[in-house]
Amino acid sequence: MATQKSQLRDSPNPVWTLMVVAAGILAYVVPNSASLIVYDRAAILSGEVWRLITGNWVHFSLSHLVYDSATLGIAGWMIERRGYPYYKSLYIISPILIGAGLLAAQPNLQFYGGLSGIACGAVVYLTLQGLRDAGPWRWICLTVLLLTTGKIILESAMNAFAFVKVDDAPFAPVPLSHVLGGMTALLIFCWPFARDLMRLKTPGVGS
Amino acid sequence: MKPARYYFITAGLLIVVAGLSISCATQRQHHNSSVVDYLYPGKSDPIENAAIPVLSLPIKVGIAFVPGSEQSRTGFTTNFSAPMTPPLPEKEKIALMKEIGDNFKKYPFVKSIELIPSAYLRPGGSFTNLDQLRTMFGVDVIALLSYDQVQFTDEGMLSMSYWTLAGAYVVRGEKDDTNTMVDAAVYHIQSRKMLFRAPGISQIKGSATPVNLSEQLRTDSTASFHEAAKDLVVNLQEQLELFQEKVKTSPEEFKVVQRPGSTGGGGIDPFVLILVSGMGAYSLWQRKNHN
Repeated sequence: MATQKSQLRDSPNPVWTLMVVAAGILAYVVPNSASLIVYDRAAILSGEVWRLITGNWVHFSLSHLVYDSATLGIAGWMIERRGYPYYKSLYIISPILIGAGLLAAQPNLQFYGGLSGIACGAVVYLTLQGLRDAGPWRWICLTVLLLTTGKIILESAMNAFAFVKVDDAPFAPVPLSHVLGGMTALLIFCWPFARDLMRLKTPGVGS
Repeated sequence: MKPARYYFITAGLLIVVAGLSISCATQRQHHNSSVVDYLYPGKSDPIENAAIPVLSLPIKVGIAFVPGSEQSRTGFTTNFSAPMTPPLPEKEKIALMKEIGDNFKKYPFVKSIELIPSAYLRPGGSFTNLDQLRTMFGVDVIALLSYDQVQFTDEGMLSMSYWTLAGAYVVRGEKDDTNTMVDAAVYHIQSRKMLFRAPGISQIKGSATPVNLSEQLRTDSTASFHEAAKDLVVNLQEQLELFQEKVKTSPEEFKVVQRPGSTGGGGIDPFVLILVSGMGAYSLWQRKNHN
């Protein structure tokens, strides 16, 4: 039952997750901060490249912030508490890939904000790692993984009129950010297997 | 001394004349405007080659009444007959457009609603006029409102009392019947394609004295327009839902793109949050049992 024990060991507090969520809350409450860090396509193309990454921490309404932060907070807390590896890479790589992906694939999108891409990545990563654990947790993770993946596919396919209004302004959900977050999680999850495979294939390694 | 037979004949003639005047006193007023007359003036075969509409979301919607094309009155008129009710005044048109526009506003994919005054629409202006409106008001889609209202006025048996003169002032012997249809045809201006349409109908029955008949007809006319607009709003909602489904299921007929310069965001929906919360609750329970 080594896996069970590793699952439930007392890991340190989820510092990284708390930092990521706190940054989102800070960006929301500090006046005028959002305008400096929001993903703004024109500003990015004119050199303000930090917005590619920092845009993930901007939220357009309280409910937007609450849903994104709560999901990321809970998923991140479980990842850190269970001691799953490489989660820091998820927090570092996914904002970059989401920003770059939107810049390349969504030329009509002028402004973007929200932690949901990273949150989706965290949920996918948590459930993928959970598949390696024993007991009911594995089945719970499999169920949530299937449901979350299905939802991401559905929202990507049926996005035509899926607008929401925030402060009376139309606001388009961007399912691509969820896809990119999920893909980042998959890459990070697969990375150790790929690395081991490459080591085995390299002559002289492992002998 | 005239014989009693003379009085009987006179009275009988009066009754016949009164009866005839009652039976002949039906009036019919008709106002209408037509989208076909506006978009395809003088064309017996209105065919326009519509392209595939590209809907840039969020969308800007215009609402306008097409110019009225016909007013007529038929039937027997007397000195008591009401003057012809004027067609829908501009103030009422704006109020009706606002009623309909408020319904569109709630949809998140609608960016703005422009109420376009009648002065901007030329009779028979066709798509050239719509292109001008598109440039002036910056709208992509326009809801063209047309109407058809018929008002019938009949004199009932109570109108016999008009012979007393005082009855014409106090007895509501004029029965009026107002039938209205307001129709909204929603066009994508650039592609010339009608996206969907919806009607709204109303029937109002009333009565009046001959003296205030004209006022009553105007009141009923306005009330009937508002009632038809309410019905139209309900039908428009249904048609809009169907249209959204159609866009999803027939991508070859409609193309939906995101408007350049739009704002978007990643948003987690309650479904995912509930799933993750469930996982969190299980983890807590697991930890508690382990300890």
